[in-house]
Amino acid sequence: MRLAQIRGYCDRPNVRPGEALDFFVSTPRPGPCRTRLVRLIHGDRNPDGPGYKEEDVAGVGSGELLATTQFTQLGGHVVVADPAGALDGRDGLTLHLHLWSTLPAKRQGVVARWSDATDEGWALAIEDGHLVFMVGDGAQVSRVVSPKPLFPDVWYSVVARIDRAACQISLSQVVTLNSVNSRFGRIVDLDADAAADATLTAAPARPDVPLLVAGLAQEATSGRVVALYNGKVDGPRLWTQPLDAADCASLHAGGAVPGAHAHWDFAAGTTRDGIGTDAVRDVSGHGFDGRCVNQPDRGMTGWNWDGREEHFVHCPEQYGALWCHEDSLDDSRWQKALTLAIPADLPSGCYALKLEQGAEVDRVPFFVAPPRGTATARIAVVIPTFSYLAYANSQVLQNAATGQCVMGVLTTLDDLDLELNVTPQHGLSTYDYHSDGRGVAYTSWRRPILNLRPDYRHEFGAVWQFPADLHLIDWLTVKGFTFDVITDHDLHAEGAALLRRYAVVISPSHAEYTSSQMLDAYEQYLASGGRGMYLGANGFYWVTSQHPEKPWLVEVRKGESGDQAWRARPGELHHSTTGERGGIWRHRARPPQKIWSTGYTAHGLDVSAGYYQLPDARDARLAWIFDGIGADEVIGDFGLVNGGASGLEMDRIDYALGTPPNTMLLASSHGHTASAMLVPEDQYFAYPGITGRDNPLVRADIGYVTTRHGGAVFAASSMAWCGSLSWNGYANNVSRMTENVLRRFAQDGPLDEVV
Amino acid sequence: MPLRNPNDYRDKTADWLAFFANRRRQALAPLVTPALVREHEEDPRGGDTPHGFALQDVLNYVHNMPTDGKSFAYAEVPYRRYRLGIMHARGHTPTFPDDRVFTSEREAVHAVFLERLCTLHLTTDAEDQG
Repeated sequence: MRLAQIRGYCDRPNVRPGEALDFFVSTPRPGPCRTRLVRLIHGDRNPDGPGYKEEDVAGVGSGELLATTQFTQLGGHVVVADPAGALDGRDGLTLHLHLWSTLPAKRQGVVARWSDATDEGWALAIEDGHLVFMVGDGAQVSRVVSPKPLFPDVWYSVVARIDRAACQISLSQVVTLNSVNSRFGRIVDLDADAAADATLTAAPARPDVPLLVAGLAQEATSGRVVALYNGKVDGPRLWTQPLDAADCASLHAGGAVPGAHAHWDFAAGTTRDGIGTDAVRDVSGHGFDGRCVNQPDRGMTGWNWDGREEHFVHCPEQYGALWCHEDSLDDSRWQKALTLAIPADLPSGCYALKLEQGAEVDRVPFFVAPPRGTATARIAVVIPTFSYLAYANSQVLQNAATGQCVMGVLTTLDDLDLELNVTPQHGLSTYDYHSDGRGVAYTSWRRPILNLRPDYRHEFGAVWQFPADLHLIDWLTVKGFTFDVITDHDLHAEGAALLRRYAVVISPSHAEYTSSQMLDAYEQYLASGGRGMYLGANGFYWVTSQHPEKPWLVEVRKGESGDQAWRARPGELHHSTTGERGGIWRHRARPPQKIWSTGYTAHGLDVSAGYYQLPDARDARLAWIFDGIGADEVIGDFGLVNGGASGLEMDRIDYALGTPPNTMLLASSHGHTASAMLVPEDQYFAYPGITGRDNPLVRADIGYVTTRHGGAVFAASSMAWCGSLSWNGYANNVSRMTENVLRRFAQDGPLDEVV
Repeated sequence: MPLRNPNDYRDKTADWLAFFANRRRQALAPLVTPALVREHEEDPRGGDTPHGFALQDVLNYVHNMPTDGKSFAYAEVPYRRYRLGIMHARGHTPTFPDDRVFTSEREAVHAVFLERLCTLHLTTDAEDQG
């Protein structure tokens, strides 16, 4: 069992010939590491398939580098520089904020200008469930501990003071619970207000550290942050003198006291496009602006949220909170190991920088699109890099009790899965929970993404995402098709103009996470004569947004319904990065059926099935699709993905949801198990009979529709479809049908209308 | 009397969960016959022949347990060499209760099933069922 080895990442997923990519490498055993560039063809090592295939790219990326052990800072927090020590509290200090702690049993810094290794400065922290305010000069520490512990998920107003003249430090907490803002409501007879003071034995030292929100500086030189906070902080303010009792009482009552030397309003800068920035504004006017690190959750309900407005852009004054998590990660921030110049003549495709240190191997994938502004083929495969991000480092089966219930199988895990379980530095996916139970909303490319390795078999029990998409890449290569590889990131940036260079665009196994820009691009392309092949399922499902300042980061907010791992809390369904409402596109009036003719209907993650031909399959106008396929053949009752072409997640035609009226239903799958389930958004009253055994909506549909200006869409509607392409030496009816359609779509001239 | 300390209170639903689990065990244990165990052994996923309702009921129950202490099939060499593993909480290394090696995922998953039956007290001795 190997739980730690050489690992790497690159700065972005997509690159063009003539551009460059930066790579970052870390190893537990510092030393030489060989590098080379490989082109990835097929990753699945299933012995029933064609096996692993990669090709060396001679003369590119080959060399050796000295790999070191690199540090990763975890945890969302805010850094405020204070080189002059204006906030050091040596002349006195009053700190006021609201907090909502989710894990008060852990030692955590809340707001501090403190060096933890040397006990210098001042810090408001939580220890053993109690607030504590401490002041130290390196030799001695004055501490005042609140006599009453914090109730988790309850809002408190907190005031901490340093009074040099009185040689005293003090701490007070007042519950500011209302009907909606805390775990429980007003009927609870809560006595959790408290106040305490202690003798100040020495003035606070002035360590060379910044002021931090949601952590403690480890010490002055490393820049590392420890004791990271879990929970919300709202509106911290600081005065450089001790306020009197009346002013402190006013603060606890929600009043304003003038003269703050710093006031961090985490909602300042909110526009109708959200608050897609790491900038934190000091609204006192004294210039102590800060920066978020590791993407704390923004657009969060604050201490004074009253539940009437649910969109933070309309009511920023009630959304002044940051929700910080000790295990957030937006960028590993390793030192760069090398820059890889992409040759001007490198063909478009899927590549990886291969790292080899002794017996250890890591492959860092990236995707080369054709030269900017051009296409080098008539076919494009859109690699779903937004979806890869959403699943990046998912560790559901390691952590979720019901994971196996969803999958319907007893879990098999390999070394990658176990490494994820013991390595928090790799970060989490949007399928995971932070340690305080909040669903993960942000995901970054800039970290080792272990389940993005080409030969990984997913914890879910089948190949998934990139390794599954390589089933298609391999098939296209073996069949001799010339194709370009483009990515979600390219599509999001360039829109329909990118797609219009191609006669046919293929969406592979699972393009689940989509931005509005990407939906627009597909829709415009397909409405103007473009041809689309949707060879996957549960695509175009989740509202996904890209961070405007950090394009390597995307955001999701799992909504009130959907096939989902978590659910955003009330008032927090809108994306911080764009201001739009999160959830599924179906609930934003853009179900996938409107663009791709089919949309998510069910998952069946244990066993895959074949498709049975339906009357439209005998329509003479569609005979070309079935060329070489007998009328009595079951389509795809075989395959590398759980034994069939219809499975994992499946889509259906639904005319009420926007499937075009002239869409032909060629075949539907049958034979799904009792563990296959109808999606939640199709369940109103709960009722028995929603499984693959007994519900007709649990199926995948093969659909075909002709569109405006000579275009068309072919939908296979299954994540398992591409896993059947190579069966029996690529001689099978899934391969044949896919080839029939692709060759027709790639031809010049309009397609015959079918209406 | 006001509530002052969250540590003075515990989640009482744990009482119900213990009651429910006991009742569920009483209902499911009689279903775990040698024939049911063989049914799983021959086809853990039910891909060739759909699982019967009894096996499905038992699997629904054994799938749903906390992950700390939960058995899994460890693919030491995917597609070639497997062992029985026990998962622990995030941040903790898994453990391996024995030295058995399985050459197929199917065998390993069945071993997980037997371990799960034993851990959840649906059998008195997993070996007797094997």
